[in-house]
Amino acid sequence: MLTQVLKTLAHSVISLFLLFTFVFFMIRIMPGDPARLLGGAGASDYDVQTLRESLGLDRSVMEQFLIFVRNVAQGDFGRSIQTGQPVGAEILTALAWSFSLVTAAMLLAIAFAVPAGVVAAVKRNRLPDISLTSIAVASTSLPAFWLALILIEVFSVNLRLLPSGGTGDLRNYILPTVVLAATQVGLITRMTRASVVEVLTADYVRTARAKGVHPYRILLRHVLVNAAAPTVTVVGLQTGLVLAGSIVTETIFNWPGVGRLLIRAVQARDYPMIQALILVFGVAMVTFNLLADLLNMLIDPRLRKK
Amino acid sequence: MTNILEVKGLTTSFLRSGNWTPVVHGIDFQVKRGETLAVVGESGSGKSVTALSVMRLLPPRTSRVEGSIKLGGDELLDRSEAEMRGIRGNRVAMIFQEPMTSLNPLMPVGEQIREAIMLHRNVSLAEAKALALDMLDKVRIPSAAKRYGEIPHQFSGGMRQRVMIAMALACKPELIIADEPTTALDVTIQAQILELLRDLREEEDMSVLFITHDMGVVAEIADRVMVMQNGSLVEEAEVRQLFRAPAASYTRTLLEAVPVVGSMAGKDAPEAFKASTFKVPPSPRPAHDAPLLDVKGLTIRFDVRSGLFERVSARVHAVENVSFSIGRGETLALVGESGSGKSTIGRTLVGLANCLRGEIRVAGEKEGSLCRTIEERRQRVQMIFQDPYASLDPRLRIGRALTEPLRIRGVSERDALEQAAELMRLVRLSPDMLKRFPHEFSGGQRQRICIARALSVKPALLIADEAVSALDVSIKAQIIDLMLELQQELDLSYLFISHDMAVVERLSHRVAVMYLGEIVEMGSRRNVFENPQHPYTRRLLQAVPVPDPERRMRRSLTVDEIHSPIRTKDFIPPVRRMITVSPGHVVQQWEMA
Repeated sequence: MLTQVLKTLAHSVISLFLLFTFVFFMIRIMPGDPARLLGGAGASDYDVQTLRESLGLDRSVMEQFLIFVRNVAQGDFGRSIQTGQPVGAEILTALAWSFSLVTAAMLLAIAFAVPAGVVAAVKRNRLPDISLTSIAVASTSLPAFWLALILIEVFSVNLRLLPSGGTGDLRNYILPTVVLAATQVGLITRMTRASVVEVLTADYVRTARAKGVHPYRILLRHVLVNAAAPTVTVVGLQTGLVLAGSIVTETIFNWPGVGRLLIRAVQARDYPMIQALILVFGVAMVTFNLLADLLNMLIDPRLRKK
Repeated sequence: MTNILEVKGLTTSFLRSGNWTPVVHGIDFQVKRGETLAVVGESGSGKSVTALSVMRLLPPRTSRVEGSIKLGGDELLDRSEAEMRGIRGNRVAMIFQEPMTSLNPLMPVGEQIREAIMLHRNVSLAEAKALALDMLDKVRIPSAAKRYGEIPHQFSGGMRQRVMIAMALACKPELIIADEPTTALDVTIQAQILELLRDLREEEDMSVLFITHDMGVVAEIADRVMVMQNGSLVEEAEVRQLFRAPAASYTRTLLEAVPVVGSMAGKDAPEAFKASTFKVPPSPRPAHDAPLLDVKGLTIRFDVRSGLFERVSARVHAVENVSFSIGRGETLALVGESGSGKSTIGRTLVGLANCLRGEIRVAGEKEGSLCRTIEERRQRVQMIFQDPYASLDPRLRIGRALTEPLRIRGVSERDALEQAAELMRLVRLSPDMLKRFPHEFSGGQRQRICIARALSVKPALLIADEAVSALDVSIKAQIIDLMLELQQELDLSYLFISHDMAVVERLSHRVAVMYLGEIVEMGSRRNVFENPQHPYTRRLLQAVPVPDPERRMRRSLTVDEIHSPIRTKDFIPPVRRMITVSPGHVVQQWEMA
């Protein structure tokens, strides 16, 4: 089992390096000059050139790349072009905000989607299935920005029950959590439904019925564990994706997370910040997938190789 | 004797596109205390549906069970679902066909038995565990205490079936329903399980409803037999009576179609089931003719890799230094159990697997190939597979499937279609069917189509990998006859890979017995079957159930497993010596145990 984890990690390091290299060169192809953006409209060519040199952007791209790789290897991601602060600290703060929001959203999504998927599978092709699956897919199909604006309109503007944005107390979590969860509900419901449907027709479920096991117990002891793997995998994958991809939600709700940080960094052509963020997103993807794999191995001993 | 189970006018219907279609038509039968009633019939005869009707395990929404089913005097059809739960696993228990899939893969086997006990007996957890452990002992699972906590994955097929039996017996039910419990097992393992069931029946005074398609198994285990066809009861009789003097013509047809080991004693040539229609000559060619296929020293190994750097940690010695030849128009049978390497040889001959060492030479090739498949050989050697359902592309019309091998060899569309029509006639199907899809054909017809497809490139050698194993007895007989006829017409050679000794005896000229990747005995069919030398050959022959209740015999009860050909990385296979028993009959020298 340990070798499997090590192997996955080794693969991850390679893919992260490729991802990072790709991003490094792509953002430098992107039109726009960070030095000119930082200097502002009134800066002279000379000022811009001085800025460029101080940022190390006058060197060749290859040289910049090698310097950057060396620094990253030493744990130094550089300083933000916008603020001059080390990007690491800024990202960590934002990551904490994003992570707490994503965790809440995924838990909410699972709390709805897994029971919904199970019920839909048991009552397949009947009313509970059709209604639950429809709700799940519909909520995922709503664009996040639209849902967010509607919720703000109803709960913040009209009812004045919940704050429309920012990070005051726990009430601030409610609306962004609901919006993010809604985007995930459809996929998790469908996944759970599909695997439970498959397990329900398995021979060992028939064996359990032939033993006289109660249907609820069959569901709990024989079906759910065996149907868990695909859902666990999808949740792992989606957690990574949502962490990196909640830009719209964070922007609308003025949430100080990594999504908003990325948008600002791109607008300012803040190369070190963009590079570091991409790397963080990559690490997040890898970590959550690995966690999902580990959880699956815990559930199913057959996945553990000797 | 009292009746444990009394079934009267049982009619089971399924809801199919809005209509209730009966699949079991008002059958009556009884199982007496301590008796084994075998239900025989081919696929679609309604035997499994009958079993599931008794258990009331059919989906209530789409099925309807009418009539009367009395278990120990209690009417089961009047019971609510909750009451049935108290009966299932308690008063009537079931053993299913597929041991590989019938146990929960994530629950320790001991727990699965314990669950059954705790559902129906008012015992503590510790007591239930002890009882479950007793059951594992009772079904003769070695070191049961140690294996209690293992998951099914760590058990072989035969051991899993023992666990299933332990689970069914756990609450000492009045009736056990066994649905093809040995069909998925190797023949030596089947013999062990049948033996176990017979022992347990005596020890526990069980009444058994035993469902099977195999007349040999019926003869071994049944007291009485009921024969089913298309959902109706054809005949019911005491087992000896049924085999001696079957009353119904369907029973007679069924019994005639059963290949019996030993029925070919004294005959040299293969024999068709419809022996009157044509004769097969004993030896197709004089022995001094050059063989069609010559295999020398074939060795096939697969690496087992593990660890961080995927280093080779062990090797599967699938085929080890195997040599044989096949003459023109001759059938060589390769027999053996799972893991013996017989299928791997077939796959290698058509280039689906690579070999490590050895020489394969097909007559007419300029030079033999050292473990390489040359394109020319693909045309001369073709293969048919076991599962006719899975071997045809479901989205490809039969016409396309049959012409594909021709089209990729540059035959024009029109010529290919003409040849396809000819091929259909060759396998006794109508060329009008070329426009149909595979799902419109029965299993037997599909296997005919697979044979036609293999024949499309006019091969000299056909490799049949368990080609009739999945078919019902009567269909099996028809396909065997077809293969024998085609052999005559087209001067074909067959490499017939099978675990079914009775079928092998019917149609082969020569037989090679494989065990753990090696040929342990090879010779003319008559010599191998009538004068088996190697202990494994003898064991294999002895394990085959004989469809004759008069010749029922007790075998010594062993819990041998089929050994695995996985060896350590540095394993050096021992040098084997072959002893000649008589001309053409060789046996591997073995160590006396």
